[in-house]
This record gives sequence, structure tokens and C-alpha cells, in this order.
Amino acid sequence: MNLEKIRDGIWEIPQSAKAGMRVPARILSSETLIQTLDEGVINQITNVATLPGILQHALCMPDGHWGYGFPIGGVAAFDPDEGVISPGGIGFDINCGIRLIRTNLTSDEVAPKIKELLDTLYKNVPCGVGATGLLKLPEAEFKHVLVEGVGWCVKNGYADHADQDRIEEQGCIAGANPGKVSSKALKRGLEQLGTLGSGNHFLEIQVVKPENVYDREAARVLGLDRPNQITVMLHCGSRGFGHQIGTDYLQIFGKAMAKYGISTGDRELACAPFTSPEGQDYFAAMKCAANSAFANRQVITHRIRQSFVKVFRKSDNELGMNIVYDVAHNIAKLEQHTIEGRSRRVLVHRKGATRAFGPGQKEVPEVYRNIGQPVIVGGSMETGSYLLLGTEQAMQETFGSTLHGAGRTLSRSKAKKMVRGNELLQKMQKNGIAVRAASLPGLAEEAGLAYKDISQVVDAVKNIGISRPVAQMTPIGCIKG
Amino acid sequence: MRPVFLWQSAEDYAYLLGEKATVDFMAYSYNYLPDIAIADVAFEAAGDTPEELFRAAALAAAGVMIRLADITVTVQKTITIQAETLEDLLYQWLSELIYLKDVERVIFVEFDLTIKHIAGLFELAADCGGGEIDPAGHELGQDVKAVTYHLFEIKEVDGKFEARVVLDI
Repeated sequence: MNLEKIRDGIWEIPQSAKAGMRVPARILSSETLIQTLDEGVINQITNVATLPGILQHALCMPDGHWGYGFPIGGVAAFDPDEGVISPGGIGFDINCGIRLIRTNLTSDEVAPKIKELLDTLYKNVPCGVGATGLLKLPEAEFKHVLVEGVGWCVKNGYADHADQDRIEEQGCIAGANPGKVSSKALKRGLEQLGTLGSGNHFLEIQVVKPENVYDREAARVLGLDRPNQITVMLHCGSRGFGHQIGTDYLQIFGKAMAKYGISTGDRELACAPFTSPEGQDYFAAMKCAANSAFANRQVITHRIRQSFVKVFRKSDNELGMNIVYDVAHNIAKLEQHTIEGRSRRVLVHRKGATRAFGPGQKEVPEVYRNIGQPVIVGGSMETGSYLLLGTEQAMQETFGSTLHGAGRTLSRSKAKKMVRGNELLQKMQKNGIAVRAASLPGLAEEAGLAYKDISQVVDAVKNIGISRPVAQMTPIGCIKG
Repeated sequence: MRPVFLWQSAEDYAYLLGEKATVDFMAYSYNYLPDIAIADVAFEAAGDTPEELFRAAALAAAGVMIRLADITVTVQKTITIQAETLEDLLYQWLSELIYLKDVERVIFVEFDLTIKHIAGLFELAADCGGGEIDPAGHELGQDVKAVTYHLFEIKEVDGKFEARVVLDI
């Protein structure tokens, strides 16, 4: 398909490229990364461009790769009156996201105790197939979690108000309705609060080396204020609860499409008008899953803090384990954006993409409002992760969106053919990364070689201007589900 | 179609068929597809009858999550499902097994199932045998989040039933 370069870092596929496209599609990338762009991304992002009510252009971020329905890295905004909502533009793992926690500790203090720390965390944060949380809630209580999100955590001693302020949407999206959630979804979620999951989900102990801080002043505002500071990063989502909502509504939408005269050609792109009963029901259920994911990351944060207190024999105050920020990268949200010179409300889908609001936006916590919204980007477990900031340019060009990770290039089975789990474990330990994994084959599937070079991907968004790097975090301990 | 075991190599496959095996996995046909999905897992499954296909697909999905040979069957469950098409029946069948993995923490590996087509509806009835997940005693794989409709299909070729499925990981 024809890729037309619009400017440095942005390529466009014209509306004429595929029958039914309502808007052009845009690939954000770099001269190097665009060479390895897979055909699947182009096919999927142009499919997205055919959906009713899509505005301006369908976008794919530089870490994009092909997935199901939308590509991973896909961003699309829809007219809430005329457009659709699609579970395939959000993913089964609703509000999969990343949280970054700072500490007052430095690598000198943590390195000698890293094994003890990982063992303690591994016990306190259950992970892997079939893991249940240490918290088992009755259904009526779980429904409160779905409506209140992190607010429920505050009431129950898992969070304080300072935590709430540093989470996207303050950890609670209004309008969640448990009445729109199946009993199966509820049952699947009851015992999983506080669990990590598996796949690419992780809990990482990281160090911020002085040479990896690119904006010292912004880093200070974000709480990264000492050399070789230890941070904790957490990547997980809404667990079986969210996965079941995705499964349930995919089938409901599949049947509803005929009723609304919509055909997409790809069943994973099943969608319904946003204003239809099905669309509104899914949106209300999706919010339940989003809130459960915020609460899940919060309960895990609580366990992480407890683990640090135990291992380092210091108080919460001495440890200073404040949340830097928490982002959702699989979600749809109603947001205000300026489109063709007019400020309007739009429904933004982000699937494997992060909100990246620029300075001054009211959605950005007050402490960060001058610098822009923190964007947390999870790299592969071998290469490290990044903290960036949203920009005004992201508001203008990408509906305030940016990348979410390094982006996979190798399939899971290919990665396993190239490296065995136990060899990778030894290699990582030799390179100064302690590892606890629920699954050795699973570890091999997540090897660094399966991902794009994260620094290239971060350079791409920096050069395009939609995010601004603040610091890189290097892993020294990793828990994989 | 020879089943190819997902874990790592022929050695692992030999281990699978070793003395710990409680199920004759060779009786079922499935194959993981390395080039269909990047972050997820794709497989194809086949059988002479819809029943054989559904059995093979269930084992393929279970084999992503756990080393099947590790499981000792201790739990029995009957599952019944109705759907308008055979494809929807397969989608719901696999989704049900993934649901039970989370809710009952059981992975099923033995299936005695029948599929009937009555009055425009496909009906599945399955007596399933499985074991509870035990991280200490079982080699775990990846948690399956959901069955996707991406490239999802069932086709009948020369009297055999074949399916392609992508699981969200």
C-alpha cells in the first residue's frame, strides 16, 4: 500500500487506498523503524479508518505491531453522536496499564537485598496462570470496587488521597455500572484483585542512573531527585474480569452489527453506535473493568510497600514510596479535543497507546500541570523503560496520545526458538537483573530480542514531538507471571 | 497433522509423551502457528468430526497454559453450550474453558463430547476431566485472556474439519 511521507516521522495512507476508508490512516515512525513495519499494521489501521464516525485519521504509534481488530499502537477518535465504539479498539485486557512508584532508596541499599526483596514480592503479589489474590471479596463488595476504583482502596486502607491524585482519572472513571456486567465476569474477578497475570505483565525493580536523566528539573518535579534512585514499575490490567467483559461484548456486538447496518469484514472490529443501547452498555461495563484495573494496581502497590517495609525495616515515611503516575493504555474515553479548529467532545480509543496530554490540561494533576502528563513506557525486561511527558504537539496531532512500550517484533514461538528460559534467566542474572518467573517458557517469550529497540522507539516520538523523555529506568530485579 | 508442542523443542515434546502423560495427546491434532500472531498465540486444529476438532482445539488452548502431562485428572465437569453456528459454538466452548481456568482454577484435558445440530441450533454436551492448577507441581505457560475472532474460522476440507484460532495472551 502507498505510504506518503507527510513530514519527518509521519507517513499517510490515503483514503483512496482501500474501499470504505472514511479518513486517511497515519503511521508514526522513523526512517529506521518504518523499514520493518509489518503489512498487518497497514491492513489493520486502514480497517480502522473504515469505521463509522471516525474523525480526521486513524493513527498507529511507533511501537505498533499487528494485533487483532485494531493494531497494537492504534489510536482513533470518533464522533460520539454519529460514531461507534469497538471492543477491538480497546482489547480484552481493558485498562491494561503501567504504574511507576518512586522510593527514597538507592541502588547501593537495594542491590545487596535484591533476592530477598524479589522473594518477598513474589509471595505478596501472586502471578501466573490461575493465581488468586490474597484478597477475596464477596460479590457485593467487589461491585463497590467496580464503581469506585481507587476510591474503594482509600476507604479500605490500600491507598491514600495522595495516591489518587497521581493516577489517570484519579483511579476512577465515573459512570461504571456493574448492572451491565455478566455474572460470569463478576465470578472471574472476585478472587483476582492484587494479581499480576502473565504474558508481558511484570513487576520490576529499577534504578535511575544519573546519566539516564535527560531533564533534571522535570525529573525533580516527578520525584526522581537523587542519583541511582530505585523505582518500582508495575504492568498489568483488569485480569479475568476485564477479559470476560471483552469476550461477552464481542459476541453481543457481533450480533448487533446487522441491526445497525454496519459491516466491518473483521469480526474483531465488531462495533456498535456509541449512542446505541449496546454501545452504552459496553461503555458502562468497560468503565467497571477500567476501575477494577486501577484498583488492582493499587492493591499490588499496597503489597509492594508492605514488602519494602519488611525487607528494609524502614517506615513508609522513610521509604517515600509515592506513585509517580499510573497510565491506562487499553481504553476508550470521552475527551475534549480541537479538531479542524473546533473544540469538541470525541470518543478516543487507545489500544496499546498512552494518553499524553500536554502542559496546562486540566486532566493533568496539579503538581505536573506545568510540565505535562507523565507517560510511562514499559520496555522489555532486559532493556529498561522510560518516563516521558506529554506535549502540546500530541494534543494537536495525535488526540493527546503516544506510544506504550517497545513493541514486539518476534512472535512468542520464534522467541522461544531463539532462547531457552533457563539460559535467559542465567544471562539476565549475569547482567545484573535478578529474576523470579512463574513460567520459564513464558520468560523466554518475553526476551529482549523479541522487541524493538526501545531507545529507537522513544527517539521516534521525541523527534515527532508528541512526547519528551525525562529519564530511563534500568531493571535490576524482575518478576514475570 | 502431528501436534507440535508449544513449549520449546522436540525434547520437551518427548517429555510430554513420557511416563507422566495421562492423556494420549497423539490422538488429537493441533499445531501452533508461529507466523500468525506476534504477541498472542495462534493454532490450527483438525479432526474427522466436529467432536474431534473441538477436543483438539481444547487441548491446544490448555497446552498454552500448562504442560498437559503434568495434570492428574481429579475434577469432573459437564459443560453444555448452544450456538447458532459451529464457529460460535467453538468460540463459546474455548471461552468457557478459559473462564473455568480462572473461576475454578481447573485445566481440563479429557473430553467426552457430542455435538448435535437440532432445529437450527448447534448443541454441545461435554463430560470433561481436569486437574486443579498447582504452581508448585505444574510447569506453567502463559495465561490465556480470551479467544479472539481474529482470523477465526472453521472449514470442512475433504470431509475433515479444520479450525484456526488466535488466543489473546
